[in-house]
Formats: sequence, structure tokens, C-alpha cells
Amino acid sequence: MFSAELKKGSSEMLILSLLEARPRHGYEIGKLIQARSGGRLTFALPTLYPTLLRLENRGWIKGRWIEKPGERRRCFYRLTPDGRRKLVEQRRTWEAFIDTVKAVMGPSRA
Amino acid sequence: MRDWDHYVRTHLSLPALAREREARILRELSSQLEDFYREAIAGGMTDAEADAYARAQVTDWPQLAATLTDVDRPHARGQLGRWSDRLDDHARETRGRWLTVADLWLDVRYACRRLLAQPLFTAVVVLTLALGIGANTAIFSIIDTLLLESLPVDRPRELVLLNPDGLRNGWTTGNLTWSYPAYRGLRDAQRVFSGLIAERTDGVNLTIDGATERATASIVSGNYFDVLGVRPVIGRLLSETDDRTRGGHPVVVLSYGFWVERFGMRPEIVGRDVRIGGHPFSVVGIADRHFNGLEVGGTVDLFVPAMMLPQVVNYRGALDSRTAYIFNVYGRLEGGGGRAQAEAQLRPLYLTELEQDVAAMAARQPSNDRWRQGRIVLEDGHRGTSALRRDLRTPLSAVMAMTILLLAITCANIASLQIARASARMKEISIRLAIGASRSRVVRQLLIESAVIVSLGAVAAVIVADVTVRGLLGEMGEAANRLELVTTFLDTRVLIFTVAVAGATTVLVGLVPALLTTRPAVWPALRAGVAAEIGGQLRVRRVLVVAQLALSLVLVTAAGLFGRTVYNLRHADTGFQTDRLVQFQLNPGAAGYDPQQCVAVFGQALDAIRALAGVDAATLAVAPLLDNALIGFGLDVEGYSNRDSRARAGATVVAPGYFVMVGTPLLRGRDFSDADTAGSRRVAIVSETFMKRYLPTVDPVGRTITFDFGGQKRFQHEIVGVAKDARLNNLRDAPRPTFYLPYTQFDVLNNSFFMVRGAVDPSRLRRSIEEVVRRLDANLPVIGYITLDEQIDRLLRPERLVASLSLSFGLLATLLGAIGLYGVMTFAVVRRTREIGLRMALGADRAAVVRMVLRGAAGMAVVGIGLGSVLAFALGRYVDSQLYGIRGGDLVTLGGAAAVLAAVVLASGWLPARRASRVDPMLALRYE
Repeated sequence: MFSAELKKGSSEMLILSLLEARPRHGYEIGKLIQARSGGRLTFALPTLYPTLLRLENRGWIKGRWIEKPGERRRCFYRLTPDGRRKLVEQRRTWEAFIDTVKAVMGPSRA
Repeated sequence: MRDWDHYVRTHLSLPALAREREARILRELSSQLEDFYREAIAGGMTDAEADAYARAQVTDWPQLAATLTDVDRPHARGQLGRWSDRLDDHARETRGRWLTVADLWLDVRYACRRLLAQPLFTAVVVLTLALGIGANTAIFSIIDTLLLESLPVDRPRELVLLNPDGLRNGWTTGNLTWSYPAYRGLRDAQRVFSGLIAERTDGVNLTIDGATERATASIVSGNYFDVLGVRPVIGRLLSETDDRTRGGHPVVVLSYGFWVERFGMRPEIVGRDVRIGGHPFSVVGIADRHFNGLEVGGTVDLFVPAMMLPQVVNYRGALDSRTAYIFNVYGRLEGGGGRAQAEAQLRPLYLTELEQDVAAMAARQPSNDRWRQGRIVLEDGHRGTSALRRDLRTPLSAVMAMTILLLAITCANIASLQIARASARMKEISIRLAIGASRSRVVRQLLIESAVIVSLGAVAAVIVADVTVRGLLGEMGEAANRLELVTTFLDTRVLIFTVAVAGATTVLVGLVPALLTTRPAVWPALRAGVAAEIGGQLRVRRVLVVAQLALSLVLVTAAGLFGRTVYNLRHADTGFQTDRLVQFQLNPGAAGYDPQQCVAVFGQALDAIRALAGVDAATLAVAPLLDNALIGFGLDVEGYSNRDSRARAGATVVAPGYFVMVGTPLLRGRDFSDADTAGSRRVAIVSETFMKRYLPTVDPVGRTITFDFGGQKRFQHEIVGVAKDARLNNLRDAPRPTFYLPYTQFDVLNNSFFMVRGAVDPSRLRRSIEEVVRRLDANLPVIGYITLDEQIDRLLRPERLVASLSLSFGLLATLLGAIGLYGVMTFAVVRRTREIGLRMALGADRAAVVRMVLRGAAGMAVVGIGLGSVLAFALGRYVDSQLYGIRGGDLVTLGGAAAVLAAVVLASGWLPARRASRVDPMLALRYE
């Protein structure tokens, strides 16, 4: 529903924030984004996975293969301390951006 | 069910990425596709629909590949990596996964991580290895240079030394077995060798810029450098054109070492004029860096043409005398073979020369039939001659044996430590084996760990070796300094040796524990708390400790034996008094004095020195004390006749008052006096042994002895006194027949040593003496000034070297043994914690526990010391010849060593024993 450019700007921040609570694996992240956005935001595998790798190469998240009892082995990603710092920073930037845009556009006329 | 792995792999390949990265990405993608598939199935779709659903997640595979490659660029790999991958693929196909580069690298990294996780263990092992391997490398490099290596010349194996068979003349020493005319005659006539060279070594007076110093010169035939194939560094070397006319070639070549030491590598010295023996010479070149003459371990400063010999040593008839045997002769046998044939061809030629020599000897023909056969023996010349080698050969072998022992102990220690460490990882290893890791894989990983640690140790060992070589060379004296300059000790051969030793150590130290801990019987250790199988390993470790103790005992005993030898030698009865005595040499002959002038200047010097403040007494003797310098003579003794062998004795030439000054009492007759001059009746004094051997039944006083210096003239001296035996040559040799002549009646006097006893500090005394001599003649240097204590130290250098080395080895070995024992005891105590707790609960007190633990240590000690004693006793025989005043099987020394070792065992066993006694029975009984 939202254009590719819009999604691109926020995808990294979304992933980081989803990992804030606990580590998750790739499939879970994709599904969670879809669920929480009520289906309005979807990241296809060919987009999501490379982003995960990019975040990992930057050192903001770290993947580990874990075998949970009763399940297959999966690669769980978690935030690194750097990632946490980055998330805080990006949130702040994002919120500032929203406020700025709102201020520029002024109150909407019904 | 769908094989998503296979699906992803057929659609996606990322060749530009590292193998593991690619594998990981593929795995993860297939995992996610499988999640999609399952989700669809769970949602109620059919298998085919779910399949299509999952597949629809990625439609553009090439695009995905491009994106992933782009994202993962940091992990991209270069050409080397791709090439290594190809090797790995090949290996996998042909040999299974055993030897892939990636796996090896993994193992290495894993090994490094594990070693870093236990820094103390790693440090101890690396240090132990460095010392064990380093010591071996150092000794080997010295042995290699002195005993094994060939001369740095062209095709050294072609060189042979020509030695007339049976030559034992009264007037030759060492290898000098050729007169100059005989050499030239043979050289001109022969066609066996492609080159025949002659050389000898002399000390000469070198004057540069007005200052005179002593230097060592190699006097050589013109073709010397050409035949040897030595090249110059600067300028030119001597050639045949420098060998034509007597006295007509005043040119000299410097050795590289002398050039560095004395002239600081300044090139301007080439072309300059110097004086040798007072005669002008011109420096024409510097010889090759590694070439140090034909005497290994000696120092050569100058190379002088043979034609200039009379000028340099002021011995005018040197080149013409047929009876002065003063040269070594070497030949180059092309192709290196055919010695028997060469010897046969040489014989008639040599006989011609021999006949002329013998004719010149006239009345004094040697009765040596063997020599007159005219056989020449060709000996190996590729290693030159070496006095240093002769001196050090036996001690060096003993030292090498000790270092090998030390290395064995080191390996035993490390093996024991490795076993301990491996058994601590039993659980991990057995799990890996149980899951299916191949035994060879696990063994390989353990071996790699050993390899890594031994490599670190080897690198450290090279450093230790370098330091050790320098230290050892320091102990070997001045000759060694020059050696250090011109030879590389730690060269490729030595490094290969180090690597070989390191490799062998790896196998020994890594394989045994590796095999032990991966025995299939070990797998059940999964459940066991404290694996019973470790008991077997404990036994092995005990055996290792016992072996270590035994070998340590041998080394400590050796240290005791050599230490006592040095002590005995130092305090040996020399037959004269050595306190407050200094010795130096004056060589006016080299400065151009004739014998009468020498006598005169010596008299003046003695008077002047005796007049110095603080000097109690001074005298002179041509043969210096304790420097192996007695001159050998064959002589006729009135009243002694023996058809088979002529009388032989060592001689020295002394001043009146010598015996009193030096402290050797006269047993009969009188000392020389000032009345014994060149014009009066010739007299001599003989030693006790001389009297016992040649005139046992009659009074020697009044008899005459007759000898010559190799020429026509014969000298008759009447014996006027008998002196007590004195060890003039060195500390070990039993006294030999000796006779003394007064210096005023010695016709070929050209240099002498002086002995001064004084209450003055030696360096102040030196300055005073130099001042006195300088006033007599500014061209006369004081040579080789040394106190007699230093001289004795110098003489004892090989023995001191061996003693200090064996002491260090003994200490090190004992330390290692103590560490090993401590480790085993601690481990044993931990293992028996439960038992100890039980005992204590049942009433055993702490002392009883300590006794129990110490009994274990004592058991190992008894066996180890017992074995070691047998070994030490047996090996003692082999070093008998090097000892002095003590036999190799000396029980006192052995007992002392055993006591030391027992004390060490007690000390290192005490701590674990104490820990055992502190065991809390309550905790122990719960311990699992």
C-alpha cells in the first residue's frame, strides 16, 4: 500500500525495533511486520532478507543458529549494543522528521 | 515434503562469496521457504498449493543473487580463496573430508582460541619448549660450525692435507711437516693435484701509524687463494706473481674479520702502507667475508706471501732450510677421488725431496724408519685444521648428550601436561566421538593443537638459541668473537634442525595423549563423573614423572662431577705458586733484534722491572706458564742409552732466580747465576721426572745433555741442578721430563715471557711495566699481559663451560621434574578426595593423610632415583677422561645428587599433601 521509497526509508528501523524485545528469526520478522501493520506493510523475502544481512554486516544485529526444543534449527537475530544505540538514534530522527513534516504542512483542513 | 535445500541450491549460487557465507545464506533461505510452506499447509492448502505458495516468495533469483552478492561484499573472497575452495572440493571428492584447507584452518583457529583461554598453561609449555629446543639448537649450531661444516672455499671436499707418514721429529710440532724447499720441489714435479698450497700461522708485529701491536698472520704460497677459490671483497688477493723472489713482494691481504674489528670496515685501508716485523708492506685487498684461513675457530688477521716469511718473522734462513719443518701443505684433488692412486704417485716424488732433507740433517738423522719409507698420507682437508675443535670435541659431545636428555625431559613434561589437559576435556571429546566425529578428525585436532604450541615454542626457541650461542661463545674466548663476526651460526641448516626437532616433539607430545584420550573405551565417560579411564592415564603420567626424575638425576650428577672437576683443577698442585703472579711477552726478534741483542734487552728489562715499586720479584721464561708451550726436543743424555727411542724432553729457557721466584724448589745442585753467560761453560737444570726416567741410578749433576735445533750445530750442556716437578704446560698432564736452560746461553733467543710477582694491583702494574719497556724501545709492545689466575681460568674454559652448562641443565631438569610431579600429585589427590574424606571421617588425622600422599610421591622418587642412579653410574664411565681428581662413578656425588632430588620431590609433593589434609570430610563424601 505504501510506495517502495517510503518503505525503504524505514525498513531498517522497523527490523531493529522488532528485535528490541527479543531475538527473532527472519520468517517471524516478516510475519510480525505484516501482522502488526494489519497487512498494510509487507516485506517480501527478496527485500527483507538482504536487509537483514546488511544490518548484520554493519554489526547492528547478529544471527545465531539455534535449535529450540521440538523445532527445526533456525537463525535467530538479536540486537547488538551498537544496534541498540542505532535504534534509539533512528527513532529520534524519525520522530523529529514526522514533527517537522507536520509543522511544515500545518494543521489539515477537513 | 520438499527438499528446500536442494531447491534453493539449484536456483541460487553465490560464487563470489566465501564458501561458508554462501552455505549459510542458502541454508537460511531454504529454512524460510520451508516456513512459508508449512504455514500454507497449516492454513489448509494442499501440498501442491503450499509448494507453489512457498516458491512464489522468490521469483527473480538472479536479481536476489545480485542483491545478496552486493550486500555481502565485505565477505567476498579473492583469487586465493577461490583456488583454495577448488582444492577442497577435489579433496572432498577423492578423500572424504579428512584434509580440507578450510577444516585445517578451522582447527588452527580453534586451537589458538583454546590456548589463549588457558594462558598460564600455554606460557609454561611454550617456555619449556623454547628452553629445551633452543638449547639443542644452540649446541647443534656450534657443533655444526666447529665440527661438521666445511671450509668456505670452492668444492671443499677436494681438499686434502698432505702428511708424511710417521713423522715425529724432535723439532716439529703439530701438523707442520714440510720444509719449504721440499714443498717447492714437490709442487714443481707433481701432476696429481690441480694445485698444491703451503701455509703456516705466525704471530707478527704489525705497525700502523707508528703504533705496534701483535697480529696473527697466515703465511701462504702464491697460489693459495686461487686454489681455494676465495675471492676479494675489496682490491685483490695474493697470486702466483707475488711468489717469485725472496723479499720482493711486500704486499699483504687483510682478513674480513680483522678489517671489521680493527679498521671499522673503512675502505681507505686498502692501498695504505704498514709495517710487519719492521718491514714496509702495502695492503692490497680484503679477503672474502666468510674466509678465516684454514684453521677453523682460529683468528687470522693478515695473509702474507711465503716469499716474505724471513722478513715477517725475522728468521732469515726460513725458506732455504731443509730441516726446518714449518709448513702445512694442502692439495686439491680434482673430482675428489682416487686417493690411493694419488698417494702411490706422490711417493717417488716425495722420496726425492726426503732424501735431500735427510742429507741436510747429516749427523742428526732420525732413526724413524717409517718416515723414511716416504709414504704420504692424504687426509681430509675440507674442514681445515682446528685446535679449538680438538679442545672442544669431547666436551661438546658430552654437552650435546646432555641437551638431548633435557629435550627428552621437556617432551615428557609436556606430554604429561597435555594428558592432564586432555583428560579434563574428556567429556567434550567423548561427546564429539559419540555423535559421530571420526576419531581421526579428533586426533587431528588435538595434533594441530600440539603443532600450534610447538610452533610458538620453536619461534621462541630460535630467540633462546641466539642468546645461548652468544653466551656460549663468550665462554669460549677471544677466538670466538672473530668467529661470531665471520660465521652465521643460526643459518638454514640449523633452522631446519630446529624445525625437525619441533616436528618430532609435536608427534611425541601430541600423539600419545591424542590416542589415549580417543580410545573407544573412553566413550562411556559421558556418564561417569570422574572417569575411571583416567586411571590409565594417571599411570602413564606417573611413568613419565619417574622417567623425568631418572634423567634429572643423571644431569644433576653430571653437574656435580664437572663442578668438582673444575674445583679440583683450580686447586691442583702445579708445583709452583700462582698467587699475585702476572705474565707477559716481549718479542724483540720480531722487531729485528738478533739473539745477542735480545739477551741484552731482556737483562735490561728485568733490572728495570725489578726496580719498580711494589714488585717483589721478576724473572723470565721462554715458555709461558700453563700455556702448553714447552718446546719439545730430542736429545742425547750421557749415561742413558736406548736403541729404540731417543730421550725426549720439554724445554724452557729461564733467568737466574727463576725457581725461587716461581716457587719450585731445587732438589739437588744449584740454580743458574749471573756467572752463567754466553762465554762460560754451558749448563742446564733438569726436572725430577727427567732424572727418574733417564738417570735413575746415577747423580745427574755433572752429566751432559746434547741437542740441536734442526741444524748442523749441536749444543752440549752440563747438568748443574735438579728441580722439583712442576706442571708447566697445563693442569692435567702428569709432569713430563723437562730441562731448563739459562737465557744467556740460548742461541736462538728471540722472544720470551716474563713473570712478575707484586703486591700491586695488576692494571697499575701493567701500566708501569709498559712504561718501562717503552723507555727501552718504543717499538717493543708488551704482549699478552695476563694474571696467572686469568690464565688458569682461560685454560679451564672448556671444563668451566661444561660445568656451567650441566649445572643449568641440572637445575632446569629438576625444575621440570618438580612441576611434573606437582601436577601428577595434585591430580591424584583430587581423584582420591572421596577416599581421603572417608578416611578422615573414620578417624585418620591430618598427619596420616599427609603421610599417605607423600608415600605416593616417595614411591615415584624411589623408582626414579634408583633408575637414575643406575643410569648415571653406567654413563659415568664415558666422561671419566674429562674429569679430574674424581671418577665418573663417584658415589659421593651421586649420593649428593640423589639427596637434592629427594628434597625437591619432598618439596613439590608437600603442597598437594597439605591440600589433601585440608579436605573437609563432609564435602568430600558428597563430592561427585
